[in-house]
Amino acid sequence: MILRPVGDRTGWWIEGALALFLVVFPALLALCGVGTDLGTRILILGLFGIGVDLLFGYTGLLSFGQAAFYGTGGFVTAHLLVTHVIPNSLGALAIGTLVAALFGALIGSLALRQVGLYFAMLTLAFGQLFYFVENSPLRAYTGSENGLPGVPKPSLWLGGTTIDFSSSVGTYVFVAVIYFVGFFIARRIVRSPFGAVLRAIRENPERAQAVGHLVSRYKLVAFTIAAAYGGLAGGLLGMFQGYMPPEAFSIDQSGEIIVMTVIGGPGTLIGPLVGAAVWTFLRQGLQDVDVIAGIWKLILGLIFILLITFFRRGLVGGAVSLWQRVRAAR
Amino acid sequence: MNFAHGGLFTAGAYAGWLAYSRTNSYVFGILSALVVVFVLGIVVERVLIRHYYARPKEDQILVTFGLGIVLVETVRALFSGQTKLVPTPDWATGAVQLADLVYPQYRIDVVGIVALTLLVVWIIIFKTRLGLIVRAGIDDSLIVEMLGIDIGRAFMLVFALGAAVAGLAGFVDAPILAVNPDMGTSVLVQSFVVIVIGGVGSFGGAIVGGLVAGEIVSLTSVFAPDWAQAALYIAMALVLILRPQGLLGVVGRS
Amino acid sequence: MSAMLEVRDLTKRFGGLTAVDGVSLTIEAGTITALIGPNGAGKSTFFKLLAGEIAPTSGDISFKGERITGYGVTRTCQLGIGKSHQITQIFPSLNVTENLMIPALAARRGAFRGDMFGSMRRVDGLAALVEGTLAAVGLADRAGMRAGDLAYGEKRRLEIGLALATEPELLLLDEPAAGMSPSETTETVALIQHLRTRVTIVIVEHDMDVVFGLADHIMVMQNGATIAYGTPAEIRADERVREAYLGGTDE
Repeated sequence: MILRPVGDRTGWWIEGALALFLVVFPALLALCGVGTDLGTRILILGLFGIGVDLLFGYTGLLSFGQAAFYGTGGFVTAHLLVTHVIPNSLGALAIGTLVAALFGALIGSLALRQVGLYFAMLTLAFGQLFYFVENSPLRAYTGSENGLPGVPKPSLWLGGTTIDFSSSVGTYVFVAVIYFVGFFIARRIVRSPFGAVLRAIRENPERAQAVGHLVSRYKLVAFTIAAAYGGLAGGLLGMFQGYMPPEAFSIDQSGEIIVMTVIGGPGTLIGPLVGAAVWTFLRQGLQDVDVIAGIWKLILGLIFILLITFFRRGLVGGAVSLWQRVRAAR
Repeated sequence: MNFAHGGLFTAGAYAGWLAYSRTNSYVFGILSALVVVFVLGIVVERVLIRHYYARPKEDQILVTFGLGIVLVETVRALFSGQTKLVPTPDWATGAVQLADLVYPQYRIDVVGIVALTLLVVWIIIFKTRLGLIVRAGIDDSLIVEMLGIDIGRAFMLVFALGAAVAGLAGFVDAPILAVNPDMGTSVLVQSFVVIVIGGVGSFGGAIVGGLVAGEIVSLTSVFAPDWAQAALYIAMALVLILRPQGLLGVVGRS
Repeated sequence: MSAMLEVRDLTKRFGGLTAVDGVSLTIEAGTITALIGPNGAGKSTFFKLLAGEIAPTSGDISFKGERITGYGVTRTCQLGIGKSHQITQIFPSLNVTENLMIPALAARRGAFRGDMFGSMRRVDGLAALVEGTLAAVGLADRAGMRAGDLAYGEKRRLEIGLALATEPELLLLDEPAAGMSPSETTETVALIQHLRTRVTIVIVEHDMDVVFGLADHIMVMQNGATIAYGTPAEIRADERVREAYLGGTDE
């Protein structure tokens, strides 16, 4: 008997399709009259969202404080680069990600003592804690409201030579490759036995516990992984903008990434990318239309509510459902 | 308990401001805040929330979160992002001497208003039939329904009541806070921290939590101002580690 | 034969209510023990105590010589006690095979393993366990079906399957035939008979035909305490049991 990954009936073609998409994305953007930078920004948010999706879409843990890790990873990476402690792009990213993951483990061990509503509240509060600590006591390191400027563009040191990724397209490529690797890893995780247990936890945590799984530890590991993704994305943000903004820690940022993940589709891994694209384009597009310029967020909020109520699986999930129904009907 | 709390707070502040700016009457402001947000609560519960009772907790959280966004953005669209001013009512200006401390009169009045509101809510929840129905319904809604009681209406009324209280708080707080669309966010989070500190599932806990939280912020403002805001959350983390159910909380209510 | 399970003076109080009152019981390996009694007798609570879902107020439970009191549900399951619940608790949006994979993963990998980059193929004996369980509960032809879409009787069988796939040595069945039609009940009884060669079974049931047909020993509970224990024949003849079922009124 061949045992397939739990809840997953797709194959490796998804990774192939993604790779193809990443290659043509800048061209598609150009066709829409939009610069490559927008694509880079969407990818960064999409990467952040992969972690959130693993946490919420797969494990069923709704956290409103993920910005804490986005910001932490971002500022650690930015700081290392700006102060030349670790001038290496990948090195700084790695450390930023690691620090974010460590905080993830710490916060997770506290917040996961509760479930459901109280867990969500706790993550919200911890997110705020990070924001206030970053804003005040640590302002020497973080620049407080002004953020951290002067973050160098990414570069890759290969022994003798250094590949420079500072151009718009260059940064896009750097981010896209990292996004792809992040996606690939996430796919491995969800298709593994570990991933199967996460899915079980989302479905019925009590039964998962009763049949012999140490649910609390699985949850903690999932939380830590999500924090790592957040930290990595944050680090990329700083490099991309040349500047690390304090808003990365904000409650709005935590809320936005949840909205993007839900709109795109939880439990799909690619959902957050789609959600980020929708968010970004709607914001961009609506702001050009004078009449409704100020209410793009209101419109998104309404779309968000509509989707949760009627299309719980989001845009990608809904599309997948439709596809499956079409196939079954044949 | 929902994530739209901040949005309802803001809506109340604006509803009150609207009435106050037209009538120059603080009392009208309060009435406006209460009534508008109460009705808003009824509408929201009927149209949206009631479809979510059977859905997982996370969906409920998400929809109230979305609602919060919609409320705030609607307010922003209707009234622009400019801060509106709600001046302290004439009968509450000035300061009061309490031993060595000089304390703004209005803030003392706020304490009074809050105490009165808490008393009313407490009476409703613990001393009326409606409150009894809801408390029973939270434990086991199926049995309550089987007893022939319209639990839907009860839940709706209590939801609207909770909304109205949030709205009231918004207007009462308006002379102290600035009235702008984003005023509710920090309140939302702070109220959660208060619940964690005071105790999950405990009415008295919320009160104690509020007092403790207030003291923590005040004291750290004096001794270590940089940490004032963060201190609240650190206290919350400590409570979680040492006494997860909160100071007055009931163990096992998650 | 050494006792598989030893329960000594187990008591559980909820505030003023004594749900289980000083129950003692010994279960030998390879037997089927039935637990019967009027509603509210404390059978479900007793089962919860055995499975580790709740901790006793006083008393002890030993499993294969090890004191497992207060171990918690995960550890108890990993040690070899599996439970099938009265109210079906499956993973509705996963298919039947996937449902069975979940407990099987715990049985074959332990309570936690960080195998995020592993694959199902590399979990030793997983496929065999899942396949075997599917066959044992007769759901092989439903393997790919979404668990939430199963018929009620099939869901109950999946419920038993979930407990079975944890590779238990002691299987607790809480009203396995609840809500079943007569033919489904017969199938369930056949299933349990089949299982007796592999696992020791304790079953809570209201259907007396099932109980008397299956059990080697019967324990009768009332008001939280044991009022009788013995073979089916002994229980049938017992005066106190008759009173409890026919004459007794609730207090």
